[in-house]
Amino acid sequence: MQDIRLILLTIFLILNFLILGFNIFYRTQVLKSTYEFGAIMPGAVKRLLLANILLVILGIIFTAIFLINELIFRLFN
Amino acid sequence: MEGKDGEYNDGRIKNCLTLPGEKLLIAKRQHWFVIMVPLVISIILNFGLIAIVSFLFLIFLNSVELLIAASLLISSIFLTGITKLIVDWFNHVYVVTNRKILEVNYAPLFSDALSDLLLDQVRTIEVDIKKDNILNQLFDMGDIIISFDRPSKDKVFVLSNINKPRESGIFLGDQLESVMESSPAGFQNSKSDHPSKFTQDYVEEKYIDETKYRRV
Repeated sequence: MQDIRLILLTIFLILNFLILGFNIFYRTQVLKSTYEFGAIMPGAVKRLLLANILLVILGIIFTAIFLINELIFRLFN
Repeated sequence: MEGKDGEYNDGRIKNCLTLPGEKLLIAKRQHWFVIMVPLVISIILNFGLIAIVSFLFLIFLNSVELLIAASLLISSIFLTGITKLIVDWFNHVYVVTNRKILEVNYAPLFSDALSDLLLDQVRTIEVDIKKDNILNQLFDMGDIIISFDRPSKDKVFVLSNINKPRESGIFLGDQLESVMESSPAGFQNSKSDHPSKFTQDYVEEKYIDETKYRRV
């Protein structure tokens, strides 16, 4: 059971990092296009892009804590 | 985001006016309802998936940590999708000027499509308005179909799912008609003193021919 938990948490962490990478790249691209074309992106969209990144970071922090916790538990048992 | 020449604040639209003497007639995005349907579906799917995951992790694996991690992951994936949906909608613009008709469909990081049609070489234009179903009637949403050189059906330009299609269509029809009158390739009426339709001209000509024949 603990093996499954460890594997799943590791997969979630990797996926979170992938999504974070995508989101940062996507945000850069959207803002770059804003400057290229001169379009004024609404503030709400910019905030949504930022909120997205923050949510992924939150996911990474939580998953990392759970994973470390799991590893420590395995180490001492 | 509708407006006449100088009233426009969107920099991107101003960047589209590249030809000499070009003036903006209309610029529109698709109706907000277009993104509402996938948006609502995404939110429902998000919560549905979280419910399934919580059932799996709490009942079978008995782990709250996995549930929290999975919920955050699922939420971030769906929020990414929703953001992309909104950004793509924002970057899909129809622009009609007195010189050209333009459709900009730009999805950052994924695709960039630009469809452009110059009005200088067009002879005739017809504007049709279409509201298909009950939702379109309810939200005042529909298509404006601009047909060029209709007898040959050369080109049709569709402004799909836009807000207030009737008002915009009538406005566009009037504006494009005046543009066509000044166009070098546009249809010129030779009898400028009394404007008439093509059918009337034809009937009058036929009548004159018949009288000539009788006199001979």
